[in-house]
Amino acid sequence: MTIELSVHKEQGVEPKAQQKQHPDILNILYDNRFHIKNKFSSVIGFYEINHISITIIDPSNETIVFSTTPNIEYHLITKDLWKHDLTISPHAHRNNELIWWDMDDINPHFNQIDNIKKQRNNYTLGMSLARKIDGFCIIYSFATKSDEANLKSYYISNIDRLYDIGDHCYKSIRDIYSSYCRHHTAPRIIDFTNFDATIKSKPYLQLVVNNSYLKGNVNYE
Amino acid sequence: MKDMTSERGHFVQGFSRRLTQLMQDEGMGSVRSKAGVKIKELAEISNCSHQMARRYVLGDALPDVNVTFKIAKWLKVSPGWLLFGEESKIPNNINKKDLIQIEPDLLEYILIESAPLFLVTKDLHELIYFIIDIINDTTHIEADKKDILKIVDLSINSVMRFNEKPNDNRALSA
Repeated sequence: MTIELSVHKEQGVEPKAQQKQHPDILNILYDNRFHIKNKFSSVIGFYEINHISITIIDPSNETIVFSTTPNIEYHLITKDLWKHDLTISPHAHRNNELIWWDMDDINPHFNQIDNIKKQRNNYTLGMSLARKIDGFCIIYSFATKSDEANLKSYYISNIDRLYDIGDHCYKSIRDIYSSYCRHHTAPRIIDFTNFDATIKSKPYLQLVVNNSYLKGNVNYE
Repeated sequence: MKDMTSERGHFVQGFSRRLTQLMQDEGMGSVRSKAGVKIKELAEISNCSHQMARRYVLGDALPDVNVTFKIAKWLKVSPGWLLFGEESKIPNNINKKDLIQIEPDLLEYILIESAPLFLVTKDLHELIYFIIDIINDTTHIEADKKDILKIVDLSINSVMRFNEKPNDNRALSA
């Protein structure tokens, strides 16, 4: 069965310079939803993470996204806000640097984007980080519903673990992504940390921040 | 003539009182209207005539389940409370995190379309969580009904696509 979801773009608005969407971006988002849920759910809960999405921009600047909470991407795309969202722009990212979803509050579209991504899904904090490899930019986005204090410090200190989680998720969808990546070969990410084993063994640690507990998995360094 | 002693009469009047009270609390009271509230706004949200909305407020008629749901969502209470609740205990749970509110006909569509999946799933709990996920995500989507139904169809088909894969070792192959 073929079902087409159309993107209704505002007239007269130019897309983000160079970056463009895959023509089937919405169908791809939902066509693989169960696979994404199945694979990504194994890491949901680690480090208080409730949402994961992977935005992949290939060397031709074509964008595809996979998400555990596809209503976010659906609205960003159909409302034509994706091009105003700094957190999924490759130009805003550098390796080993977190971009907080609430960082770009001078953006005139900030309130709309924040509502779509964070507020209506009851997330308290969202962040993105990128891995640039072989001309691709792979952006991992995470969000949490935790209301613990000092979450930003917590995630900054665990940025490597966020990469591990993102890499694990990317590997689980690489074949699917390859089937949509028409002009390039999807990059492979070498896994040094063996996060799969970590997930299977489900080690568990409670971190104490200001005398309150933050749940997370064990630091396996 | 209304039969106030009948069970239905009591039920409809109760609905009317709660509806009126909530609309007034939300700043939609009207001194010019016999009903005491702005009928026009109720008619708009209920997608019905002015006359029919007036009958809801005056306790002459009860909306069907879909309209009741819309009114309840609009007034930020549960449909159950609007129909059966006690006026002295207005619930404040509609904005509670993770509370799922969905229109009955959409829920019915999702459940009917999902039914065949129960025959092919290898993991019942995983499927149920996925269906809950569809329901939850769908309630957050602002789109016309046609697009929402397409999204539901695509999401449900994704289970079939996943199950059709002969050997799912993707995580190991990368």
